[in-house]
Amino acid sequence: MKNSINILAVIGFTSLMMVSCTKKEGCMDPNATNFDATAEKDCCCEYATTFDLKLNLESYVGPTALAEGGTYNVYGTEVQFDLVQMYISNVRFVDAAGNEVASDSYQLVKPENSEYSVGSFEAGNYTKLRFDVGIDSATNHADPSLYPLNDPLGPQFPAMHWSWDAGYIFIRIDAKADQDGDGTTETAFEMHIGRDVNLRTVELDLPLDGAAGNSYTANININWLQFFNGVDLGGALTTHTGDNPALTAILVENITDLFSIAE
Amino acid sequence: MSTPRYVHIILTMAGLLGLLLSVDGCTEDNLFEMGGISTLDIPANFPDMPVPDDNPMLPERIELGRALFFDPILSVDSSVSCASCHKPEWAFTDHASFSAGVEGRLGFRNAPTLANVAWAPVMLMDGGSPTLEQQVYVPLEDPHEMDFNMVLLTERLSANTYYTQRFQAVFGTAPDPFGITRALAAYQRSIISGNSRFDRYARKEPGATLTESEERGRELFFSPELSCSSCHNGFHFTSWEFINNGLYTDYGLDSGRARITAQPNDVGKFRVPTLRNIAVTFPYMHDGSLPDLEAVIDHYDNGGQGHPNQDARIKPLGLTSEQKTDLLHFLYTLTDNQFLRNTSLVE
Repeated sequence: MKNSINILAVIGFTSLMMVSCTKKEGCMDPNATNFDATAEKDCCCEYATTFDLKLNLESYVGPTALAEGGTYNVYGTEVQFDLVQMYISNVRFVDAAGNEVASDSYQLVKPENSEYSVGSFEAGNYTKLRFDVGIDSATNHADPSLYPLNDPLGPQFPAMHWSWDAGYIFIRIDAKADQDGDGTTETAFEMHIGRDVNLRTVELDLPLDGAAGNSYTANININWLQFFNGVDLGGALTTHTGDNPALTAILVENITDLFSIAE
Repeated sequence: MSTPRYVHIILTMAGLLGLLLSVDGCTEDNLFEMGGISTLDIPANFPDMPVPDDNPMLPERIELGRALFFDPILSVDSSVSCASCHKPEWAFTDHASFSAGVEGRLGFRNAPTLANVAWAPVMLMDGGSPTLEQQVYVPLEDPHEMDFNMVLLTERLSANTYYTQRFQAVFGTAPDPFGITRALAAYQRSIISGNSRFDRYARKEPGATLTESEERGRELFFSPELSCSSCHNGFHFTSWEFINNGLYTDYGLDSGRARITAQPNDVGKFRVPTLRNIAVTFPYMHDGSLPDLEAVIDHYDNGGQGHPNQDARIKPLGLTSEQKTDLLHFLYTLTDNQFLRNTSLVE
């Protein structure tokens, strides 16, 4: 037993000597993801294969930037927007051949925030950006209690989920309209859009030669005026999707028109 | 997602058990027996209880859920609790057609019994909620019920010394949506009723008999001619189907199952309710519009109002007054008095 300990000690000492006699190996390329400033012998560099994407989403009502609580002219009717929230998910790039690369993320978009990190994408040459307004079916009917409170899919205040018809509220607008034109926004209304069938995919032309390791920001405008296109602003403005199918159909049809690439 | 299993509860926390028993009193109604291994009191004629993988029936979860169920802290102004509308002494129902939520606001459906809710394949009369855990949000956030919000409830419970200690002990975390929903669901799964006179008769227990009138009522109930039991069948007296029973020709604002599916042929369909403890769960129907069982029997005897979606099994029965009385007497045998006074279910 004593002999074997001595032998081990000798081996250990010898290997220590060998390391101390060589230059420190490491990646010496500052462009690599594992760059080591203390390395003396270049070795084993690793390079990014993906780029990061942020969405810069600016909300407007017509030409005017949207701030919650503000009053805006909506096709001749004054509307005060108290709450405007929307889920955007499944952001993906499309190449010229039509192939998609996706990142798995869910964003709860609010006017007071403009920048949203939507994750990493495989480097490549792309022509279009696609994303969904809404939540995919499997996730839509899962239990929000399984997410932390600060997660977009976790419980929210104000709520962005229906419990009585289990699923997320894809778009929630709480507002007041001046339907009688007397200068006060007297008619409170709610436009709450959800359910699998109302998920809509937005496609925008966004040519991008996405280089590995880079970060890009896509500047996108959301014009909520478009949401009201074709809506009878003197009529019933409230829908919780199921209780006003006619209004819901008009609003859902308008979803893809909300978005444009910022000039 | 959920795996049916026989719910054996291994009590590893002897100290907690002792506390429970000292609070509740050690009666035959207690959920937990003395000793190292305890069994949730599931009647022999019931199938295994389906329990989700992430919410085992741990006694400490059930106890925490019970505390929450009876606590008005869940409503926006701390005025109503779950038990305000689901009263244990009435088989966890309310005798109002529509129960009063915060500020006396009325909902639009009659509070259903929670007896044996563990076995319900989906929640709510229209099937809109998939699990008991997710259903917690329904009364919590409905403006006509508690008018509160899960984020705000979590903040409120986190500022409450009693609950922060209880959640820490049970879940090892501060109060959060996961713990709130799991505890409330676990407690509701413990609301089990299966010891009516009819159950004891059906299990052929010694001394369990039916009177001649009750026996005639039983035969009528299970007869193909009346076909009551084609919907109200199985251990829980429901097929769990969504059907239109011809209550109205126009269902107005409550389209029932169609509220979820948006299908015209689902208008006026509601889940077949259990008949367990039916004598104490008046008024009846999804909207509490029929005040007593006599009115319910008359409705089915008349064969419904003739809605296009009315189920084919709803047709005129031509019952004599004696037959109606016999049916009534049979329905009375479905009351589980032991359940109605089960002190272990009450905080």
